[in-house]
Amino acid sequence: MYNRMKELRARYNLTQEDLAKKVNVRRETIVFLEKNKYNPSLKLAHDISRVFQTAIEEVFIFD
Amino acid sequence: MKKGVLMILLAALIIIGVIIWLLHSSNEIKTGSLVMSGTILLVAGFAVALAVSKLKSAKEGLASEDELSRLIKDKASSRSYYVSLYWWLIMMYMSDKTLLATSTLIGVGILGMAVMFAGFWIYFNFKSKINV
Repeated sequence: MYNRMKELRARYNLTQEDLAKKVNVRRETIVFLEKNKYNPSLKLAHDISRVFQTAIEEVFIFD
Repeated sequence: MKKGVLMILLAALIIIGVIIWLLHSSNEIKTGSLVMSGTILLVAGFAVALAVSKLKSAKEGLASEDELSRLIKDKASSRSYYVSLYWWLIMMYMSDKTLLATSTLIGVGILGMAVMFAGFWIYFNFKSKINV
């Protein structure tokens, strides 16, 4: 699985810290996610896709 | 926030304890004691660094703990527990083969577990892919 978080974050003009605050995680978690080093829980994936106002499968893409 | 402050207090107590132990031990400090106290200070320093990063996150309005940090902590705990089973076997073997006091061996065993936890935490936090 890979994700488009970095691209969407740039589109919404959000820093990693802003996104971390919005979904209530540490900034390190956003770094791990963007580097595809960590697969988030369904809840976190849902929260992130809500911030980007898009469907989960458009942020997190299964190969 | 509370957890971070508690961790710093505990680490400070340990550091003060080690310093008092070193100051009040016999005139010549043995290499073994120095290595042991150095390791204790390293583990305490690791705890302080963790606590400071938690407090910093809390001050910036970010979560001090989340699902990833809990996963890393759980993974480091389980891996260090698994490895420490072998570590204690080594300690049992050492108790038969060396003249070291049982209390020293227990101390080394506990310290070894702490070092293993810190090592695995660093490994999972900086090197590895977590659950990919």
